[in-house]
Amino acid sequence: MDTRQRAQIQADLTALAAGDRSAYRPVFAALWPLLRRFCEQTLRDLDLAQDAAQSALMKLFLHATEFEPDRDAVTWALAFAAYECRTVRNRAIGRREEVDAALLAAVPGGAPTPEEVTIEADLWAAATEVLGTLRPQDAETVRTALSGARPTASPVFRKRLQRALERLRVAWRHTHGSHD
Amino acid sequence: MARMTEARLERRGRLRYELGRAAWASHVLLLVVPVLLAALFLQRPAALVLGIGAVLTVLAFGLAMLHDRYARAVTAGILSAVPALAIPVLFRSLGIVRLGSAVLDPCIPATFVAGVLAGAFVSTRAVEEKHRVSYWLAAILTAGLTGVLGCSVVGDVGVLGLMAGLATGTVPVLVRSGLRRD
Repeated sequence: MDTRQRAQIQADLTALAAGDRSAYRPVFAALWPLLRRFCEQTLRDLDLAQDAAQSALMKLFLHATEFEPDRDAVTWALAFAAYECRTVRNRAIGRREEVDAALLAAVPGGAPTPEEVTIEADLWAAATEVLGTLRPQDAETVRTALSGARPTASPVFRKRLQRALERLRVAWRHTHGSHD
Repeated sequence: MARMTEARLERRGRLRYELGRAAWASHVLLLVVPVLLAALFLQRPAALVLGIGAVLTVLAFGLAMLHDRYARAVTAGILSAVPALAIPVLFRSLGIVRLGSAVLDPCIPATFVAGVLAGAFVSTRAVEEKHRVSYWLAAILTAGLTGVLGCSVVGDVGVLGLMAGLATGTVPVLVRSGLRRD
């Protein structure tokens, strides 16, 4: 913005502050793009910047009558924009904190935490992978036992399961190693 | 805030400006209301204070809303008419003065003198303004209304005395300022 434009805004805003309605349109035309640009550069988010610039412009016009001619009009206008940018940014941060807190609060007391759920899913994937390396009969026996559908008090099934689990352990050690 | 088109934003901004202007203009009531209370305190009829007061309040607020120079004119007009409000009412307590065979009501010359003071004050301020005529009209109107609250203590004669005083106080100042400009 050059000196001539600055002087024009100063003159127009001074006239508007005194009650000269004909200065309203020039003031709007000069300050709206200026405030929007300032908010865009400050917030680096077009939506937030638009909100902040609109609020700043509305507050500026509400207080336009209080503008004193010995103050710099552009600085005075940008002060509204700076305040709105700060407010919008603080509101956005507050909203993010609120969402995080709401997510935490949504976890029931006895339920697994998101971390536990992830670990369990990883283990399940690893177990499925190892199960895939077993013979189909052994894999089927383990799956039946895990689903809880195994025949009760069946010595044949118990023996088959025992052998399948031994092979599973060997396969697990072979794939993922052992603590021993 | 909801996203607005530029035209809508401009209209909204104008509305905000007028609201802010109205809030600012309401400051003249800090001057008008005490003057009306003072008139009531000086035993002026409530109906008169209410009637003139309503007109004065609307006029003062409307003028202040319109432009700063009218707000200044309202302030000058009301302040200039404070003597016109108080002096005739105070002189009323003296009663009728007998000057030999003649009888004089001191309130009548008091209204005239108060009018001269108000007219001179308002005119002096008006010649310092850029828009003299509109400033003077606004100031003399509010001065007249405020002065009527006190000068009407002697009826229509008091109001006429005030008007004559306002004119008498105005003319020399305007003539002198006109001569200075030439």
